[in-house]
Amino acid sequence: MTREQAPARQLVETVIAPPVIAAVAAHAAARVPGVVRLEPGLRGLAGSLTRIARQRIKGLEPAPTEGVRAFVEHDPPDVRVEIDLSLSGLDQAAATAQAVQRAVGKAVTEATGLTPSAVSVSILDIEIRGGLL
Amino acid sequence: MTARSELTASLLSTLREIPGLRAATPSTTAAASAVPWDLDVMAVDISENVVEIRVVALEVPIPPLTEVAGAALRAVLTGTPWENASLRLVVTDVDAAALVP
Repeated sequence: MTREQAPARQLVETVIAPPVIAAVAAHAAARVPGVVRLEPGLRGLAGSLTRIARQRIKGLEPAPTEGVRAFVEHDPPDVRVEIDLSLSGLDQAAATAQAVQRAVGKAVTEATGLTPSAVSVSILDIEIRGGLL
Repeated sequence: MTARSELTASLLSTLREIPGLRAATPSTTAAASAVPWDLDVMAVDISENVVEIRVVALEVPIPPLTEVAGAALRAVLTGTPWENASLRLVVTDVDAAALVP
């Protein structure tokens, strides 16, 4: 996703890469009450390992993105986020999922200046005792 | 030193003075410190019409950081053959510490 910050002659274009959006979304989703954990899945784990290795080369502590996929389109401009997670059985699943959607949309907008057109939440598991046992 | 390498060095020097962003390259590992050249140059691509700099965000929100960086880096291009080139800032990743309140 790009944002132009100046007239054409002195163009400054900012591109936010999908891992940045995914990291912000993962952080926001994990903090919503009722979310037990994000579920990376096999594909997510493979991507995560690659990213962690690359981050270590950079000397950085990687911001986790497991369980989140971010999609960035340039023409037309669009950002979409997909999140896989497990919820606590002590909370209403639909309400928690909506809270995740709101929290992620707000966090991504505040952190990157980009507003996701869609935040899709997939509930892959529910911890019957709220993840306490 | 060519005009491109001089410009790259100037851009990186300016980038290092901007808090919250760093070049997206292996510059802080022990192995990198043993290499006798500046690996941060890998974060800069200069073509005829586009100057691209890849960065990692160490803070959020990102837009104020890129706005400051864009203005500072744009100023570096002034008076060079790339004065009218597009400046592209690519935020490739974010440090975990940036998301801790």
